[in-house]
Amino acid sequence: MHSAITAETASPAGITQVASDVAHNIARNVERDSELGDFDGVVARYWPRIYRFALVSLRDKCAAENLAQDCFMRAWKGRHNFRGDSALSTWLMQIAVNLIRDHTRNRRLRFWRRTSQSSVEGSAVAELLVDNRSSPEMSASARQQLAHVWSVTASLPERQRTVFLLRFVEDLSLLEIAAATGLSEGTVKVHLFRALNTVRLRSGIGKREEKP
Amino acid sequence: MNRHLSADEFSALLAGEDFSRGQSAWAAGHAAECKECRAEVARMESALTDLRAAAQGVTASPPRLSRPAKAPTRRWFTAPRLALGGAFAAAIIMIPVYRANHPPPTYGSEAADAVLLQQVDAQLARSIPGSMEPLVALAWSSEETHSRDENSQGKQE
Repeated sequence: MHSAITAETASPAGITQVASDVAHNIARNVERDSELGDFDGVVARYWPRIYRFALVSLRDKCAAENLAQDCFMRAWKGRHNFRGDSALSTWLMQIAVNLIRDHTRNRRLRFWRRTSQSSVEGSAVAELLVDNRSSPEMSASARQQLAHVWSVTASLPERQRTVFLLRFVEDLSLLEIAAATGLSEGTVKVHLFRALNTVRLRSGIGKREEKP
Repeated sequence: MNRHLSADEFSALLAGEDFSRGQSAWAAGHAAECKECRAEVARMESALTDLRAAAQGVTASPPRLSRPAKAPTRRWFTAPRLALGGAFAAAIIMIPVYRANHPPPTYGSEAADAVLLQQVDAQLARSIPGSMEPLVALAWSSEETHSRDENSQGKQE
């Protein structure tokens, strides 16, 4: 980054600021290079996250594995383009979001997705839930509710689903979601609110749309 | 305000909005006081927590994308290579056996060769083919007989 020399930057305080920025950039680049240098470590560290997000988005284990591999392959090929402006996890998630969007929009694959043998159904997800609820009835109710949420999430529009899953499965902040999806923070919030409202009402958790 | 939470206020609470200001502050205060709204927020939060826990349970398998520490050694004794090697060894063994059972053809002694060559020379030296020789001999003999008869007639005359 080149800063224009102005009266402000020429002052001692300005020079200090510029030096601080340069030092910060150098430190960031060194950190970035050292992190990406051990790409096996990057894969081992971020694979579960990327795979999980792909799985909850696509609901197909095979497709999620392929997509996660594709994501890290693209990251490897494009590692020189990573400037370190965002966290590495956000950059990887950005690649994954783009791949999922392309996959979802690929009409030719729709038939195969419907007939896929490795699809993850809501009941299968609910069975994986390990809870500490006091009674079997409460556990069964929680599993049923989870299955509803899972199926309602699948019916959400693509952007709403992506934002919803990034927020509540990957636990990203609104700013991180905005960076990963390329949307503004306000747009992210709108999609998230709509998704939450839909999930709340269709899964039977919210009884009324507006309470008087 | 004598009302319950709106859809956006529910969403704001669940999304973790900043509750310190304006409408969000009121929504947070109402959710703390209203039993019905608080229960609904709690149910939704519980469902979202379960969703996250279940997703993490689904993806508990280890990553499959990893380079092997050492490149896998390729076996040289694969089936096609073994078959090819066996066929080559069998061919090497069979060559002397075949030669022992099928000796090269012999063409006789030198004397027989010489006789054969003389016969060939004789055939080549002939002015007429061998098959025509009896006919030619017959013609010669009849001609000689005819001339001898003429000579004897002349002498008688």
